[in-house]
Amino acid sequence: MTDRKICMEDGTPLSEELIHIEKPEFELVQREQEIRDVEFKTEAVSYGKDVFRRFLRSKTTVVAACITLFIILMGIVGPYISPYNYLEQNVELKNMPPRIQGLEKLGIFDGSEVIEVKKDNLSEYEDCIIKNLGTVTDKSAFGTVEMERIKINMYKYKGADDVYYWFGSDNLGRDLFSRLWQGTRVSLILAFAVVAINLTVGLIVGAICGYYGGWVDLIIQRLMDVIWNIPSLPLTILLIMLFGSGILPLMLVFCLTGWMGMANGVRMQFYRYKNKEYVLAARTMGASDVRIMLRHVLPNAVGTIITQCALSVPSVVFQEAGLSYLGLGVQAPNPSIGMLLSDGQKALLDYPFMIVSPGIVIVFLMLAFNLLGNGLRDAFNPTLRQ
Amino acid sequence: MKKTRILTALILSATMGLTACGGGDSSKETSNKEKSSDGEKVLKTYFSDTPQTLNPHTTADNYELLLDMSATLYREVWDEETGAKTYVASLADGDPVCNDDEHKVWTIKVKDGYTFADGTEINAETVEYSIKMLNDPKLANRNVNATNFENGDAYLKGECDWEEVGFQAVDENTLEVTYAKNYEPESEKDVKDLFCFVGTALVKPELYESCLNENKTECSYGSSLETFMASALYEPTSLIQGQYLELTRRTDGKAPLEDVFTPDKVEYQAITDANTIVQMFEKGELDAVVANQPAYDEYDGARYVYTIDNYGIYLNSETPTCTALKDVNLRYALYWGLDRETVVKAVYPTALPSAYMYVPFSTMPDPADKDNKTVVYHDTKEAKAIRMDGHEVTQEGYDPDLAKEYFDKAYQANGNQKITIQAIYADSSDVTKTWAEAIQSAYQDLFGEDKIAIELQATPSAIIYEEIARDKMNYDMCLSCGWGNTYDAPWNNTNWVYSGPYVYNTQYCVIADDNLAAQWDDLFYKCAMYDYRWDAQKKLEATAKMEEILYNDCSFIPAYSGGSRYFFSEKITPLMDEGDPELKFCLMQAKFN
Amino acid sequence: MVKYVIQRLIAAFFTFVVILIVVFFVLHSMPGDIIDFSPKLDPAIREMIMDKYHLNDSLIEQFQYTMADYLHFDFGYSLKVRPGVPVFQCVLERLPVTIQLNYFAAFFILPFGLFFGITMAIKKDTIYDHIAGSFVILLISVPSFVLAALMQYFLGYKLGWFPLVLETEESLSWSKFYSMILPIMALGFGGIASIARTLRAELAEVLTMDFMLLARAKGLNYRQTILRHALRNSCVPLASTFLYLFLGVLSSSLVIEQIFGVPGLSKTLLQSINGKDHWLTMGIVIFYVLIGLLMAILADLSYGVVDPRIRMGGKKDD
Repeated sequence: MTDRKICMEDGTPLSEELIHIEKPEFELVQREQEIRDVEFKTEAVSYGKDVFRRFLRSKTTVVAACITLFIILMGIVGPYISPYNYLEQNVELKNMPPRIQGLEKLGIFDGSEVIEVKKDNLSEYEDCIIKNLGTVTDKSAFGTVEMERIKINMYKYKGADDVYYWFGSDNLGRDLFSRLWQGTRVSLILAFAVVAINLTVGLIVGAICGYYGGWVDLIIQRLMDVIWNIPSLPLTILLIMLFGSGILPLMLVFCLTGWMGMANGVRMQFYRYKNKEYVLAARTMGASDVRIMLRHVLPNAVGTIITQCALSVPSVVFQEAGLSYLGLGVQAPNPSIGMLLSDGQKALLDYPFMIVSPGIVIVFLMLAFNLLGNGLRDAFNPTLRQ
Repeated sequence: MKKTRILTALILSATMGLTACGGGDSSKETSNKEKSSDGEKVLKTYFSDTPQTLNPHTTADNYELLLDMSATLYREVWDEETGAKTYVASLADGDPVCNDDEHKVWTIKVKDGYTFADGTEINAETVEYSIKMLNDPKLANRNVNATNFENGDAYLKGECDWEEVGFQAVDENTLEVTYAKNYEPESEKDVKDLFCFVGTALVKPELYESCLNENKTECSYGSSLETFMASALYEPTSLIQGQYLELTRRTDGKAPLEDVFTPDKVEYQAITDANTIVQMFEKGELDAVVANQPAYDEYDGARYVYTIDNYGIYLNSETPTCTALKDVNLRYALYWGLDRETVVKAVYPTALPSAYMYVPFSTMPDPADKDNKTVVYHDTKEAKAIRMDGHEVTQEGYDPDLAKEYFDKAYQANGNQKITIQAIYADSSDVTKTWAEAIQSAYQDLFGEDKIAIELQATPSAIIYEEIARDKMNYDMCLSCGWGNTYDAPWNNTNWVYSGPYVYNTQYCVIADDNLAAQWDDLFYKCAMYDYRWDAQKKLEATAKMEEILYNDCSFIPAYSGGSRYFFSEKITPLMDEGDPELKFCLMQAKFN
Repeated sequence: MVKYVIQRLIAAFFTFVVILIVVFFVLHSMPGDIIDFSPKLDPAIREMIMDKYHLNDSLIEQFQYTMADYLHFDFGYSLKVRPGVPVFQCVLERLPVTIQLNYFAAFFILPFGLFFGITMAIKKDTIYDHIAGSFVILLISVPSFVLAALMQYFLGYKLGWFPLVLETEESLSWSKFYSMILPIMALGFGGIASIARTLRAELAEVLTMDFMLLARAKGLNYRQTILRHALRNSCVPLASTFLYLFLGVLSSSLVIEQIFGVPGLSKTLLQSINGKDHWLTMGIVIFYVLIGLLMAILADLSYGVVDPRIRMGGKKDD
């Protein structure tokens, strides 16, 4: 039994009497009747499940995610797989071509190299020759010489028939396979750390700028202008002079300039969405600023944020590669993908295999993160719900 | 659509503006891209960058290049007949003549008939003007040499006039040189040597005067083609900063050394990338190239040249971060523990490994022969008698057992604690990085990773020389520096005659022990200026003693002398098979086929 | 609009001054001597030279001297890289080639980038999209030095289609332009990929919007809807990307310059930093900063021009 007084809006009662309404008098109408309506075919899904579903639906994104996971996995366990350490030098066996146990029978990865020698020196290579590709007359500025072009088993020639460098060895005789994955590890750790810091800082700054606007925005924009316009190359060199080379100044440089991309993107999105009606509604209902920013405006920016993060990772690896080319990368003897690439480029004409493996890794890394970024953005975008 | 039309118009006009703008240095000849006529001998070569300046008074490098453009009294060239370097008279007429017994006053005659490229006459007064402005106290040029002359010091300080300095033109064709005390040359060879240095090259007086600024403290002579006038056989006809320099031979017949140099035109391109250089050579765009890559091992026609620099490892025994280095046993261990043959060859295939403190081909005046002959220093019995803590020294310098012996002593003295050394190296190129990694691995493998650790630290090449300078010494071990030697005075890193005695130990620390350093300095000055100068035997003994001090102190571990492998196109043939460390292959004298 | 431009210019000026201060103090706090004294130079002469350049004064006083000079448009002299030459002239010498190269690179980027971007967005999720997309990503996943070295090797050396290094002529003739093609491509590929990718993403989103349907319903054919309506909407990030690209290409071509022998500003900058030639470094940095600020203002203005909704700083809707 419920006692109620029926009142007007301002509280003045319509009638002075309490109205009794007995429970059995309540009759809910709809429950027994049949509804001639379209059946709910779908079920209510949470946001997370929705994202995951869309994610799985795009095949390219799944493939990209698998590639990324594979590379990360290899970064963790890769250096331990090969019997050779990434630091072990063996100067006798430097610049050896790649050789893999199973595949060498097939004629690829068999540790062979095509070299040109003078006819008189042919006997030196006697038992190592796999195939004689004939005589070649080299007419270049070095003079006109007749050379024999032969394909020899480099490992046999150096007397190291039981040694297998899967991706070859570098100019000090270190195993490139281990160095590649060790380098991936270093590069990825650097990239993830930088992206994490950029994300945090960029998010906070971008949100504040975008939401409050006005003076705060103006000052921070000017600050960003100053930092943005200082050329990064002199800054890098100066930081290295102050801190010595290594991971710390690199991270400083990337973080100092990197958060601004994120901040700008977030700020853009905030500008676009902060004046929407639902934000107004939330404000009327008394939501605090922080709550509005986090709960109502930020989810619109998730797409941009995710894409930015996903694309930042390979971009950091890239920038580090550029710095390594100038000699400003991570401290030797630790490898990084960038360092391996620049070493490979310097030996491009003589030993092209050196650039192939880090090149493929970085290409796949870029591809995977790009596609992953695109796919994640589509996945997090509720408007694409089908 | 109106907008697109405006946009297109803007773009077109901007493009046209860009194509027209090509200003920069005007070339004196616009035909530098014409095909060279048959029989014209064009030498195509390269350098890492266009010269900073063409002013001989301030230049810090590109000496030979500037000497091709501005003339000096004498010039060092290659003599094909004797197969050695020799000094020839360029502006001078004959040898310098000594007028007194103490070798103090010399007379040099200047030849008639030479002019600048624009026809201005050259005589003894032009030479005097050039030397006077070189030593001008207000300009404070880098290549000053007045300390060699009487009252030169005072002139540099601004305390006296030029007329009192010991370098005057007595008449139009005669120069009188009065040397300062203790700077007297030992023979006419030293006089010629002083006056073949690029700092003494000619500048055109009127042009130089017009290039001075208001208070005469700066001179922009040589900063572009317009502010420069050639006095030697070649004049620069085209200069594109950072890219290209063209020299054309003067045909007016009024330039010195016409029979010595062969090309009609020389084209220099500024390229740094090693791959690009080799590719250009193969296509015939360059006539001489340095190709150290292993791909060219098999090719004929390679010629080698070594430098007279000594590269190695500096050790700082005063370093607070690695007290074990104070122990000389550790330093000996590091000296004997470096397998130079393997490690150096792995990193620098064309270098010359050497464990000698003085480069292997150092020479000294022969005590037995008065005729200005020289003898290879390391062959003399004085040099062979040197003992390093009782052990004989060899060029190989690798003895792993001895090294381990010394190391164990040092390890025990360190309380059986692991020794950690921080090694800095210049990050200027990937080869220095490879070198550092190789050394790290060599020492750690030999002595055991549990007993010694070498931590690498790349240092920007801009500050590395400051970090290791005597007043700072901010290093445990420095892996990529070295010091130069001179031929007949291996203990000196520049020829002292024109630049003044310069003890290397005062700027960088090559000897840690102060007593030994004092001894060394004393012997140095005796050889360079005082008692032993005229006594070849005493000089030789003193030199050996100095080297022994360096060995026994062992603050510098020599590793190699630099070397390069040259290839030449079929168009030219150099005069020598093996290059000279200073003149390289004398491309300007090469024969054209 | 004009008020906005003036506001931005004033803000840019303040930014410029702040950057000058920061760069000056950072450069001068680098260890080491600015002047390369030969060790045998008399100490009195050394003092005189130091006084000439005010090197014995405190940093603040040195800064005042430098600022006073700048107000007279006197940017000092280079000390190490090109001794005795005014900084202004040093920078001016290298500018023509640098600007030409970047200008042409920008105009190489634009048509290709637009083409790929538009076609990929239209044919989204088809085979063409995947292939072209991968190709585009391939272009940016290979670092520029590798790409440059490979192009020089295959196209210049092996096939002989292009010269190996830049021609040594001063004015822009046809042969010089031909020798520029390889560096332009090396500089441009990254930009093409960047523009194509951005355009594809934005355009794809715009294509799903309602007004596109309305435009088709109005009777416009497919091409007209894309060009007139869709492109304009997706240009917001495009314009700024393009402008920042121009700046990026201007400053990060160090590797290209090394490989192709281009006498540009990046190499001079590196030399002057390594040689501690501070006035020259400041001169070059000022140049880059000015260009950067100009690009930023243009980018902001372009937002307003292209998309009226985001006319920031324009009329406030009070």
